[in-house]
Amino acid sequence: MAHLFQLDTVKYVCCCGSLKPICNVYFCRHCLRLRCHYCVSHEVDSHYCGNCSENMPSAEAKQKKNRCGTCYDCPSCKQTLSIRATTIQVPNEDEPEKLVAKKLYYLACGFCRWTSRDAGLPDSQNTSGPWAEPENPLGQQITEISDYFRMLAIREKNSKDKKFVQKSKYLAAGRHGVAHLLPRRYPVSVPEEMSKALPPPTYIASTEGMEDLPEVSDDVYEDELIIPKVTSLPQRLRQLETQPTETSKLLPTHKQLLVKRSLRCRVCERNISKPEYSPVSIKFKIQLNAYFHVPQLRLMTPLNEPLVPGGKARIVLRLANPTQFPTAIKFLPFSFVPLQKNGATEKRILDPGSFDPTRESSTDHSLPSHTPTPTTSITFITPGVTGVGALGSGESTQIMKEIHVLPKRSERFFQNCDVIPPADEIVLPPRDETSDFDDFAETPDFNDDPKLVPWRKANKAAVYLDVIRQANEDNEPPVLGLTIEYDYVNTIVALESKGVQEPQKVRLQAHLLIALDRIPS
Amino acid sequence: MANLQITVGAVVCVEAEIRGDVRIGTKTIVHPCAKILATGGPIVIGDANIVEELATIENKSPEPMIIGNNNVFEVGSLVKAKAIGDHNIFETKCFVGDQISIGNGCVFGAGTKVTPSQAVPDNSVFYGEPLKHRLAGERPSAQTLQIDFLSRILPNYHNIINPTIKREIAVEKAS
Repeated sequence: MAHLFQLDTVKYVCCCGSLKPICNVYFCRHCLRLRCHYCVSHEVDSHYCGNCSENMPSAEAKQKKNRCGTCYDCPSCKQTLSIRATTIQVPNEDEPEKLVAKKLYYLACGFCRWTSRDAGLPDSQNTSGPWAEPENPLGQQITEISDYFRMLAIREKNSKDKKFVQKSKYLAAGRHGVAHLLPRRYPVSVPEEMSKALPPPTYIASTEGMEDLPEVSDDVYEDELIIPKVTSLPQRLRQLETQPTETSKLLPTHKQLLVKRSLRCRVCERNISKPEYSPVSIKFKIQLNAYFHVPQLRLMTPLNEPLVPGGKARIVLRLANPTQFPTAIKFLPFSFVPLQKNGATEKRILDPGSFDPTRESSTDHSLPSHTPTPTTSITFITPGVTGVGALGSGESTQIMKEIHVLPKRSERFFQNCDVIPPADEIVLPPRDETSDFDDFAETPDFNDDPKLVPWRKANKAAVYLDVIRQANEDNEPPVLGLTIEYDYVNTIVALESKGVQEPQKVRLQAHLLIALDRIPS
Repeated sequence: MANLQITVGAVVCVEAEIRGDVRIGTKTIVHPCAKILATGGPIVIGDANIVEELATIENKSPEPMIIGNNNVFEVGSLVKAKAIGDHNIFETKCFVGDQISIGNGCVFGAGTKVTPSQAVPDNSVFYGEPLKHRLAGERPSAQTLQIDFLSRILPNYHNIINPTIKREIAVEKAS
């Protein structure tokens, strides 16, 4: 399906090794790394109902089992039920001969046309009329059994704390001593009663076998089964209390609450995404999506003819700079190094053969030594290294922490095309929100080589790239691996550090895999 | 060729495309841009039906297609069924194949494609993608309010074909 951000075509490589399109990836401003939703911790911010947009504090949500009090779901198709009205003629209370129109309300589903009358519920007189709830037939037994176990637990806890009241001569003094003022520990009056067994609840089932089993009547075999009258498994399991087998016994259930979540980087514990409290608002207090911080790459034209192994082609990429500062982009061969536990600094060495053979094979693909590169110095840059040395000694501890904290994704990296990197860097001006509306805005002239940059507009540029497919024969579609180096200006860190006045400019890398045969939107 | 018989009380707009032998009962509303194509055989439509815009009722077989009363053919529906009963609703953009005979009170949900060659039981509801089938407790209510409203308002904005009990439109047929 076509999508503005080319969800299938261009994938960014997250720090943990998973491939995500740019709109599904976050950027941690402190660690200066890409994070996907596996590398962040999800915390529940607020509960709200999807239908009535009503906020609910967490304590109330927990008490109501995370369900809305007023909205109902259709038991047969789980859409939201709406309240409909019918008018009937009822005899007036004062004058039984005259008929007065009265409104009665019932619940109806717009999708599968289920109504509360199908369940046998009578129409109610007011809009929030009590609609029957499925009652658990074993509810009484469950509460009795859980109370019994709770009493047992209290007893066991008390007996562990203090074995027995020490019968010392001080206690024999009765009410005159200090021991009398000790807080009462035992729920029973006398310590001897503690050893007496609690009476078990009446509902504990007996385990005697029955001698006579009731006969299976022939109706089971002879009655014709009417399929629409039997509930499907999802319908049955949505009503856990009763789990009815007939559709006439399906009752409306309360709608489940939705959750707004805030995301936090697992490595540096800083907020990455924090939504607003109001359920109607779609804005964020903190929104660190990669879409707003990392240059966006899109494939502009598909390949004219299929790319054969060993063949060359020319593709057009569209670059966009979403930040408030200009950036210079340089293309490099794909050089992603995944996080591995068996490093020299790590004492606990993971046995590569035993743990996860698929992970090892995926890392084999991604090792830079497979890609033919002109200069070996590029292949061993660890991801996230900064040219200006801003992190310095903190970088190795950050990588150590990432190795510990982040999950290892055994995602298959397959890349069979390499880029011939152009020698120049491409400068992109900062993003100007008014440029979309200003028809006469002049794009600043950068003296571009038309063979490299054929088109420019505000903060966007198109770039020609030469691509060579690797010579080995495989039946896979062509996938281009690419690394871009770009400038990033970190405004937040500048405020925190004490002596630095101007914002720090760092050089970051982002790794991408582009599927060349997909038709871009 | 076109033998269009419109009973008094029916409101059939001139812009509707009607081909072949069609007989329309009283209080039936046929919106403009509706299509009733009796290309193979005749179509008999009962009373108090509503055929909305871009709805297509097609009969390609030589057998007559008989439609009952109080049915609603919503926008964009394509119905080719052999026989249709009363109080059915064909929702927006549904497709009903030509081997089906429909009973009373059935609802064909929006966008569904129903093509089995068997009789559809009364009060059944087809919905969803993939198609699901359930039996409703009661038939859908009749659209009398809507029919009254349309029969008052439509003649204000469209030209209506003059109804007579029996009327021959085609002049070219004169040999």
